[in-house]
Amino acid sequence: MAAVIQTLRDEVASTLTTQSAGWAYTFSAVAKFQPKFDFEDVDSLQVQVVPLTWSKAPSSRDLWEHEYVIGVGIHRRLAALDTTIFNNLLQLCEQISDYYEDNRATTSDCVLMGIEFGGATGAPYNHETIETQNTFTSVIQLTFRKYR
Amino acid sequence: MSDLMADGASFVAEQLTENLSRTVSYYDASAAQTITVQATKCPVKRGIDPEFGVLRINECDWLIAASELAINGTAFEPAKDDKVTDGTEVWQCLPLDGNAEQEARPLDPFGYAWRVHTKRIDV
Repeated sequence: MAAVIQTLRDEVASTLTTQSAGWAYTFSAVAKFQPKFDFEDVDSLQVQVVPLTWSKAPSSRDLWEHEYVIGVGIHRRLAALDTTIFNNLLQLCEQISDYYEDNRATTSDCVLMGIEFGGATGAPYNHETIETQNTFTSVIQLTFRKYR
Repeated sequence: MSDLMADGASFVAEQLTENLSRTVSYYDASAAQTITVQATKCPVKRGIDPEFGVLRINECDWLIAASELAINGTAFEPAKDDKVTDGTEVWQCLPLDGNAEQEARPLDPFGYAWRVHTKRIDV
């Protein structure tokens, strides 16, 4: 029996892969323990899903409130800066976040509590990698809650 | 009175080109043209970007005499998105991570040679 956070991570990766057929770009999201990229390979769209944080607090006599943050990392390197492709990648980020506004993580039975871009920075994409790597890098943090 | 510093810098650039370099292809992105130049390959380091997990990057500096960088007799400066091809390896001219330094800088105060920062983009 898998941990809830593992089921949730795998479900997010599977869902994103399936739903991407109707989004700006089609991709296969990969569930990882640790996201890792080789710079040479990021010339094609890479989407990796990892658990970022897990916290819990007592909710009632019988239940604990578990909060899981799942990170979705989006990377794509271009030969040169291309605002059209970068705009499309931004749209993809929006499509991912919009999907979870309306859909529940059913397999792991977790409700979405929040969406953040770039973690503490709040940036929709990493400004530095645009300049130093010609790479669009975005991290979407999905916060889920489950009582168990 | 001669400028010994300038003379020395010129001598170093010549020696790098004549004795410490290899033949590579240099693609000028702004002109969309490729030329053959002599370039000195500096030690490669692998960088790790902790933004989201691990991003492994091979980095390399190329020392190229300014006189080598010319197309049809017109000199040009190295710029972002230029490429150096060394055999099967392709290196793209990009700024250092952390915006620590621009994609290229003069190797000496007099402009006899360039230090070009690159990241490997193709195995």
